[in-house]
Amino acid sequence: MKEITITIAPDGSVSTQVKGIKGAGCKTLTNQIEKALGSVASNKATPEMFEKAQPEKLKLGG
Amino acid sequence: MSHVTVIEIEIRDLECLRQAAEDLGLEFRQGQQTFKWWGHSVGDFPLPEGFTEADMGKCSHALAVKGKPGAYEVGVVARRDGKAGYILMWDFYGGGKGLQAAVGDKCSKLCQKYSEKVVLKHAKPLQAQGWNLQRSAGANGAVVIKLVRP
Repeated sequence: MKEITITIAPDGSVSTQVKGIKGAGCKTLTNQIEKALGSVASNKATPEMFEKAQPEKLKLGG
Repeated sequence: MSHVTVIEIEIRDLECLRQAAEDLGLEFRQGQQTFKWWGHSVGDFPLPEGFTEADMGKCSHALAVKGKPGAYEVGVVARRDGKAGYILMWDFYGGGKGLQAAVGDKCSKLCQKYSEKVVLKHAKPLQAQGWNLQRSAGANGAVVIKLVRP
């Protein structure tokens, strides 16, 4: 299961969290939304980001 | 988990701002060059970067509370700090004569609604790729938008 969670705080500030996507592809997914919103104040990669993506699985949507 | 990002919001999309304002009962007045305020600064709050007292009340567009002609207005003002987009300026003294009830303290309700409009707009390409969008209320007044794909 791939999941993007976007939390909009009562003051309008936004945090995004991506789960279930290996490799740097997770950044590509949220890049457009983050750019449209404003400036990135902090960006924390999690261990999953540094795992190798598996293209076959991604193609199948699994 | 793959990454976590925190974003400081910048007002750049006037169509999303217009939609957010409409949802909160405000009218987006395209091209209105002045916004209603008390008319004099008493200097108790610092002005945004690049602005002087002579600039107060001037704007590129304005937001007015529908049905409250006496309420102060929000000025949508082009930034002068080198960044693209706009800042929101308003006179909150005394609740801005009804303005604050519509836009929230520090324009928070308007900013939150604007962010939501921007997220929903830019989530559409992902929805077209098969991501399902779910919106829910989060803790402490937050809005949570989830995009899920099996």
